[in-house]
Amino acid sequence: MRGARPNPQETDDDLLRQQEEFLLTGVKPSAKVHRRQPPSVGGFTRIGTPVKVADNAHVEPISTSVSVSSQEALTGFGETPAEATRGDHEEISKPTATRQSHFARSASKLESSGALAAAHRELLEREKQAKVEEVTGDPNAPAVKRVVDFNSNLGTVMGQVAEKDVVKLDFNLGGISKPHQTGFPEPVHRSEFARRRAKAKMKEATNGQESAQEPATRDVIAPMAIHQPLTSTGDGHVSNADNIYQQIHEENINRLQSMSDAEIEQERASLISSLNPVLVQKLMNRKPLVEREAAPSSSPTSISPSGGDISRNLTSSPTQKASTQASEEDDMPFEMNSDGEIVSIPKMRRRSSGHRFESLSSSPKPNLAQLVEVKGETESADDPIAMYKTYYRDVPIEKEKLEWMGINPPSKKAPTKGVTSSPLSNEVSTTPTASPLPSPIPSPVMFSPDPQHPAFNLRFDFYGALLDPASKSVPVHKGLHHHGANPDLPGYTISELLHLMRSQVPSQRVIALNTMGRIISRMKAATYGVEISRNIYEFLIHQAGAVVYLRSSIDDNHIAVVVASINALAAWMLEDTDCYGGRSYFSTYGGVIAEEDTWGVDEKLQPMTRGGDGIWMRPPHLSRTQVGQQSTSSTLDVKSSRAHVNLEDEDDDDEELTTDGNHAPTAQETVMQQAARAERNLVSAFVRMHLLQRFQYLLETWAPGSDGGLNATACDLIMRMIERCTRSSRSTAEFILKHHQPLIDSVWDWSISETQWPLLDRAEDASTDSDTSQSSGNQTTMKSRRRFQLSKKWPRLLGIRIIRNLAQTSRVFARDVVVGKGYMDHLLRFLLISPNSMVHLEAKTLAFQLQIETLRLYHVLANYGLGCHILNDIFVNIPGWISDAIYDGDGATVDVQELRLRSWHKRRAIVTLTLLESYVHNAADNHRTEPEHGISWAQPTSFLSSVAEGIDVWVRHCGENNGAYFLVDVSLLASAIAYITAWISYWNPSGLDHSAEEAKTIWTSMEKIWTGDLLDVVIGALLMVEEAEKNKKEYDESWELPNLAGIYHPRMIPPIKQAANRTVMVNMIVRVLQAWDAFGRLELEDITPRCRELVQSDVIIALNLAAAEHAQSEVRSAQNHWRLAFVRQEIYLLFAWCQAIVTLSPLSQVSSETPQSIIRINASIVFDLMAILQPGDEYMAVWLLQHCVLSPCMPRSFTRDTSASLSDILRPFYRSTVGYPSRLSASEASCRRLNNKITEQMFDCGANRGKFPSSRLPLGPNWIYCPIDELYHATSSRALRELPSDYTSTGTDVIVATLRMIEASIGFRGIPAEETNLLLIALMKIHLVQPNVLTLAGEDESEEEIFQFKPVASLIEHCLDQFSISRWIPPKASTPALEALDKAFYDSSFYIQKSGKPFYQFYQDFAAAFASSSFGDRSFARLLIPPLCSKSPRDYKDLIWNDMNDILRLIQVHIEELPTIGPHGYDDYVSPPEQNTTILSYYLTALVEKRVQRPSVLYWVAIHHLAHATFSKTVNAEFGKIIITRLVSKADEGLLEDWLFYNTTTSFRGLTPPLTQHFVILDPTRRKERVARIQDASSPDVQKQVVARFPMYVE
Amino acid sequence: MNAPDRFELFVIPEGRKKVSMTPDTKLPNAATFTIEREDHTLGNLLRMQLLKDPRVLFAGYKVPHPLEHNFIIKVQTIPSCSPEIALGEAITELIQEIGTLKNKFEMDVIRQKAEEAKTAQNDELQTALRPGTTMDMDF
Repeated sequence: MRGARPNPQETDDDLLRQQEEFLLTGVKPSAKVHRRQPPSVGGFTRIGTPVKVADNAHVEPISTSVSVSSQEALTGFGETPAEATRGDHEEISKPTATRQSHFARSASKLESSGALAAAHRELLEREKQAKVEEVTGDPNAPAVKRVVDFNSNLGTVMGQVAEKDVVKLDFNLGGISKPHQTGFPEPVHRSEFARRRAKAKMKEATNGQESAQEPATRDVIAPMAIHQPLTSTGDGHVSNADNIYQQIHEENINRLQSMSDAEIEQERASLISSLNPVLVQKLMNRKPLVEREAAPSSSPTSISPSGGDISRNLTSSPTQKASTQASEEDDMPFEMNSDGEIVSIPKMRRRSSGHRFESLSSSPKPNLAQLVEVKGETESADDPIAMYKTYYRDVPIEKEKLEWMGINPPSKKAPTKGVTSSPLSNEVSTTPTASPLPSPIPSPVMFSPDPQHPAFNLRFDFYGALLDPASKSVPVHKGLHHHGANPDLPGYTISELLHLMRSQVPSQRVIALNTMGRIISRMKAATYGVEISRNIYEFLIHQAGAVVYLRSSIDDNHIAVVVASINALAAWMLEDTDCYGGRSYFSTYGGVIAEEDTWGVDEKLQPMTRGGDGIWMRPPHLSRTQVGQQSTSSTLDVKSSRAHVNLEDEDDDDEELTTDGNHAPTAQETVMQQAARAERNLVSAFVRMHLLQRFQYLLETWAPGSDGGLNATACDLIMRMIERCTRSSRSTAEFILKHHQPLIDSVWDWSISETQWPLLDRAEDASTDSDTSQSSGNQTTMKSRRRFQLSKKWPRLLGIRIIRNLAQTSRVFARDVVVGKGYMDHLLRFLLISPNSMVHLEAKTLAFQLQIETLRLYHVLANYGLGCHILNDIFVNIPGWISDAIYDGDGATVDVQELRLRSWHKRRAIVTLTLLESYVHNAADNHRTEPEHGISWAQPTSFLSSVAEGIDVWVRHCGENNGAYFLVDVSLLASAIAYITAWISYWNPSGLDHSAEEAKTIWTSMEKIWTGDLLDVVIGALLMVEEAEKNKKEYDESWELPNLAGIYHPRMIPPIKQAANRTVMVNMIVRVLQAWDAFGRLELEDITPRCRELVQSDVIIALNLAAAEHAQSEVRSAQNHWRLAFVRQEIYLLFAWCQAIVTLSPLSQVSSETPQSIIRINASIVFDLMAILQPGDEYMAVWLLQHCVLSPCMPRSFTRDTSASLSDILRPFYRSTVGYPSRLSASEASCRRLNNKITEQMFDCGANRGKFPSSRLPLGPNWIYCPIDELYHATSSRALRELPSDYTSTGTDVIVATLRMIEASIGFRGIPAEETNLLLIALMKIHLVQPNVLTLAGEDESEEEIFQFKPVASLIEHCLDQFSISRWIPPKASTPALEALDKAFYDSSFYIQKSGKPFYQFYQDFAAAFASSSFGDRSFARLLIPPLCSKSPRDYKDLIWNDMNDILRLIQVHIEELPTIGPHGYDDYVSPPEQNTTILSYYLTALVEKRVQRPSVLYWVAIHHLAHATFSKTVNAEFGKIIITRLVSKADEGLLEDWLFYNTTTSFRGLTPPLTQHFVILDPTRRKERVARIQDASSPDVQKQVVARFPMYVE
Repeated sequence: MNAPDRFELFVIPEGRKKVSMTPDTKLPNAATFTIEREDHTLGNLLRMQLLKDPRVLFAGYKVPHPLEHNFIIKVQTIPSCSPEIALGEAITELIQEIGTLKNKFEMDVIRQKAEEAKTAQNDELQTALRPGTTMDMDF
C-alpha cells in the first residue's frame, strides 16, 4: 500500500470516517482477517473481500482504483512522494468506504434494484477466484505478484462487464464526488477538533441523505454478519440474502424519496447515457427487486446470469468514472487515440493497474452475448477449467499443478504470451512517478522477450558473473536458488532481474538494480566475451526494453533504490575508464583526477587548429546492411512497429528534437518509440525520457548537505551523466539548452557556486594528507577524506565542463549565460589563487585542474570573441604561469613529485598560450569581439619575449627526465609556436609597432625547433606505420555498442590513447608548417627562401605522403565514427602543407623553378585530401579547389592541352557539392578565425547522414565525378538550378572538362583498386546524360549524343584503357565484382542514396540506351559487359542474353578491352562456370544463331561455359547431350572447332592478352581425346556427323 | 491538366514531315530518322525488322519524350547499303509480312465462317427434321 494516496474523490469526511472505523475495529491487517461488509452494500466492497488463504502467503488487499488514481494524481514533478504507511489499516479500508458511498448513492437511485443479488453472487465468485488463484499463480511471481494478480482478477471480473464506450464524460454522477480543483485531494487534518466538527457536519448531512451515511457505519458494526453467509453454504444463507435485498431496497426507496424529481431525472438520464442501451432495456423490463426476493434461489450462485452482469455493470460505473476522469487529467498517451478519445478505458478495468496499458488487441473485449454464454457455463460448473476460461484466460496454466489436483488441463493452448515470459511487474503504485511525463511502464505485449534468444537463459549471480547454466549440481543452499521459473538452477536471468527491479520490496529492487548495473558494465567491457556480450546487449535493448525499465526505476522514492538506479544508469551511459580527461569523471570524491593518468585525451585534443573543438559522441551510424541485420534480429511482433519508427525518423533525432517547440509532442511518444530510439541513440533516448528533469530534482532536493540525501558519489555520477548528455549530439544538447535551463542553473549552483574556495582543510586532515598523499590507496585515509569532503563541498570540475560543452554547442548560450549571467567572472576566483597555496597535494591537484578547466572555458569563449575583458583580470598572472613552466635546470633528474608539479605548470602554460593565441586573433581585428573593441593589440602580444625565451628552454629540455613528459613538452612547444604564428600572421612590415628586426629575433629563437633533432624525432615517431596498423586491428576487433559511442571496451583504450598521442605530435608539425607559411609570407630576404626550402624538404614530403595514406585508410574504416576526430589533425597537416606550398612557391612560378615531382606530389595529395575533408572543413575544400584543383595554373601542368576555361566550367559544380553557402561561411569563420561569426565549436563526424545533410563532406573518392552526377540527375540537381546566369557552357563541355579532371587525377595518382568501380559507374552515367541537358527549353540544339562527341569518346576510351585487363590488374582481392559495382553505384551520389534506385534498374536503363542510340559504340559496349560476369545474379544475364538478345551482335568488344573488375583478370568474368541450364541455353542459342561471333568477348564467354558444361561434367549429362547435339548439327565449322577444342583447364589469371591463343587446344592428341569423348557421349547420329566434320581427329 | 490534346496523337503538325532523316556526321552510313506521330508500336516493329537485315550494323529506336508523339530510329549499315534503303526495304518487308498476316487472317476468318455456316445449316436441318421442336434462338 505504499503510495496509496487519497483518492481525489474522497473528501475529508470519508477519510475521517475511515479513521474512525479503524480505531473502532482495532483489527490488525493480515491475511487472516475476514472482514465483511454490511449487508446493504456487501456486493460492492471489493476491497475487504474475504480471502481464504490456504498457505501463509502474505496477502495485501489492494484497491484497484486507488492505485490507479493515486499514481496518476502525482503529476507535479517536484513533489516529494508521499510517505508510505505500510500496513496501515486505515488506508486499506479507505477506498472501501468511498466506494460504498458512491455506489450506495448511485445504486439507490436505480429504479430496478436487482443489483444486489448479483453483487452477492459476485462475491462468491470472487471467493472462488481467490482459490483458483492459489492454483494458477504466475511462475515468476512470489508473493508480490500474487497480490497484484488478485487485483487483476478483480479486473477480469470487471472486464466481463460489457461497457459502453464512453464518448462524453459526465463527472457529475451522483453529485457527490466533484474532482478537486487542484487535482489533489485536500489535505487531511486529523485533529480532534476537526474530527468533531466533521462529525457534526456529517450529522447535518445525514439528515438529508441518511442512506449515504449508513453503509459506512454498518461496515464497522457488523463485519461478522456478512462473514457468515459468504463462507458457509448453510441454511441461514437465504434468509440473509433476503435481508440484504430488503435493506437495499429500503435504502433505495429512502434515497429516492430524499431526492427531488429533477434530481431523479438527472440521475436517470446520466445513468442511461452511460450504460449500454441493451442493458438499460433489460433492466427496465425486469421486476423490481423486492418482488423477486422470494424467488426460489437456494443459493446465490443460481441467480440468473443477466442479473449478474447488470450488477457488475452498475458496480463498475462509479469506478470507471473515477478512472476516466483521472486518466483524462493525466493525459496518458497510452489511452488516447489520435483524436483524443479515450479508447481503452474498458480495458483498464480488465486487469489491475499495472496492466492497464495492455493493448486491446491481445484479448478483445468480449461482447455481451459472449459474456452471457460463458457465464451460463460457469454457473453450472465448479470446474476450475471452466473458471479458468472465464476469468483467467490471460494467465498461464500450470499443468503439473492441475494434474496434481486431478484435473486434465484443457487441450486448447491458452494465450500465455506476454505474461509468462515478460518480466513485467504489476505494481505501479509503489513507484510513483515524480515527473510530469507519462510513466514509461511498458506493457507486457510490447516487450515480450523471445525465449529462444541466446541471452534469455543466461543466469547471473549478484556480482553480475555468469553462472554456468548446466551447473545443476550447485547445492540449493548456495548459488541463489529461488522460486523463479527454474527453481533448480542457480542465479537470476535478465528477465527475472527486470521483474524484480519493480518489486514492491525496496531492498529487492536495490539488489536487482545493482546486479543489473554490474551486468551492464561487464557487458560493455565485453567481460563475457564479445559474442555473449552482444547477445546480452541485443536482449536488453531489442527484447526486454531494459532502458525503459531503468529509466522508470530512478523515479523511486526510496533513496537506496534511487542510488542503485543511478549506478545502473551510469554503468549504461558512462565510460568506465574515461579517456576524456583522465579519470576525473568517475573519481568518487570531489571530482579530483587520480594522479597516474593526468593528461587525458580530451586535453590532448584541445589545442587543435581550429581551437578547442569538442566532439559529438554520437553513436556510429548504421550502414545499409547493418540496419537490415538489426531488423532481422528483433522479434517479429516488435519488428513492424520498430521498422515504422525507424523509417519515420531515420536521421536519428536531428530534426525531431530540435523542431519540438515544447513538451507536448514529446509526451505523446510511446514507450515503443522510446525503446526504438534507445536502439539507435541511448543518450538521446534517456534525455527524451525526461531523465534530466529527474536529475535536476535529485540535485536540488536530495543532494548532499540535506540530511539523508544522496551521497557525493551518486551526485558525481549524476553530474557525469549530465555531462555525457551535453556532448552526445547536437540535437540533444540543443534540447537541453531549450528545455533544461533550470537544470544548468542548479548544476552551476551545486558544483561551483555553493562550494568552498580556496580549498581548506581541517588541521588533522591536512597532516594525514601530506603524509599519505603518495599512498592514496590507503583505505582509511580515503574514507576520512571522503567524509571530510562531504562536510565541506569542494568545487566540481564537471560543473565547468558541462558549461563548456554547452558553450561549445551554442554561441547564444555562451554569450547570454556564461558571460551574461556572470558565470565567467565567477570562475575567476579559481585563477587568482595559486594552486601552490593549497594545503595538500590533493587540493593542489584539484586547484590546477580547476584552473585548466577555467582557462579552457575562457578559450572557448575567446573563440567566439566573447569575454575578452577577462584578460585584464588575469593579465598579471600570465607571466607567472609562463615562467612557472620554464625549468632551466641542468638536466638532473628530479623526484616524481617535482615532475608532477612541473607537468601541471606546463599543462597550464599550454592552455594559457592557446588562450593567448585566440586573443591575438581577436585583437587583430577589433570587430571580431563582442562587444567590439574588447581587447587591444598590445595586450595579448606583450608576452612574446617571454614565450620566445621559453621556447629556447623547452627545446633544450624537451623529453628530458627519460621522456616522462615528452608529449607535454611537444604540446607546449606547439602552442607556443601557434601563439607566435598568430602574431606574425597579422604582422605588418610597414607598420610602426613592429620592426623587421623583431620578427627576425623571434625567427631565430624559433629556428632551434627545427635545426635540432626534435623535429626529426617527432616525424620519426609519426612515420612508424606498424603502430597505426596495429591500432586499426585493435579497433576492428573490439566492439562498441551501436547505440552508444565511447570507449569502454578495454581494447579500445590503447589505440585511442595512441591516436591521441599521434594527434599531439601531428599538431606540432602543423604548427611548424603554419609558422613557416606565416614567416615565408613576410618576404624577408633571408627568411622566405629558408621557409620554402623547409616546406619542400624530403622529410616533410615523406611525412605528408604517409599522413595522406594513413588518413585515407582511417577515414575509410571509421565511417561516421567519432574517432574521425583524431584523423582531423592529419587533414590539417596536409592542408597546412598544401597552403604553404601554394603561398611559398606559387605554382605559376614553380613550373620552371622546382622539380616536377613537387607538383605531382602536391596534386596527388590535393586529390586525396579533397576526398577526406570532414564536415566543417568546407572552407578548406573551397580553398583547395580555388588554389590547387581549379587554379588557372594548375591544369597547365596536366599532361594534355586544356582550354583555359576548365575551372570556369567546373567551379560551380564542385562548389555546390562542397556544401551550402551557410555552411561554407560558418566553416570559413572558424578556419579564418572570424570569431564573431562562429556559432558553434563542435565537430560533428556524422553530419553527412540523414535525408537532408547540411554538409556533403566528406566527399569521398568520387568527388571528381560530381559534375557528371549533377548532369545525370538534372531534374533534381541543385547545382544546375543555381548555375550563374552567365554560364554558357553546354553539357558536353562539362563532361569534357570533368573527363579531363579524371584523366589528370589518373595521371597523378593512378587508379586505386577500390576506385575502379566508381569510375566505371561514372563513365556509365555519362552515356545516360541527356544531350540537351544544359540548354534552355525552346533553344534548338542538335540532338547529338554526348558520348559520340569526339573529345568525350576519346577521353572515355582513354580512361577505360587505363584499367582494361590487358593493361592493369589490381594486386589485392576485393569484394565480388557485382557487389562492388552495386555498392559503388550506391555510394556514387547523394541523389541515388536518396532515391534508393537499385543498380539493376540503372543497368536496364543503360542497356536500353545502348540498344536505342549507341550505334554500337565500343566504349558503351565495354561498359555494358562487367555486370554480365559469371558471379553476377541471373537477372543481368537474362536481360542481355535473352530479353535483349538482338543487341548481342552489337557488342563488339575484344577481350583486351574488358575493364578490370577484380584481381583475376579475365577469370573474374568467366569463373565459376555457369551451372544454370537456362542461362546455358541462352548461350547456346546465341552461338547457334550467330548473335555472338568471334572475336567478341561474349562469344568466348559463351564458348567457355558451354565447353565446361560438356567436358567438365559440372552440368547434368542430359543437358550436355543437348548441347552436343545442337552444336554438332547446327554450328558451322569454326564455332564447332572453338567449342570442341576449348581449353577448359587453363586458368586465365594473370595471363596477358592476347588471351585468344590460350583458349583453344592446339595439341593434336588432346584434340583427339576430346573428339573421342564426344563420340562416347553422343548418339550414333551425332557420332556420324562428328566423324564427317573432323575426320582427322577420329581414330 | 496540361496534357496535350488527344488529336496530337495522330495529326502531324504544320510544316513537318511524317518521316525526316538526319545523316550522322560522325559515322559513315548512319542516319537518324524522326518519325512523327508514331510510338513504340511502329518503332519496335521497325527496329526488329531492321535488325534482321544482315546489312544493318545497328538499329535502335527511342521515344525521346513521352508526351511528344514521335520516335527516332537510328540506323547504320554496311557501306554497300545506306540507311534509307535499309529502312525502306524494312518497311516494304514489314508491309508484306503484315499483308500476308492479314490475308491469312482473313482467309481463316472466311474459312471459319464457312464452317460455322455449314454447321449452322446442319443444325437447322437437324432441328427442322426433328418434329415437335421449335427454333429457340435464346440458347
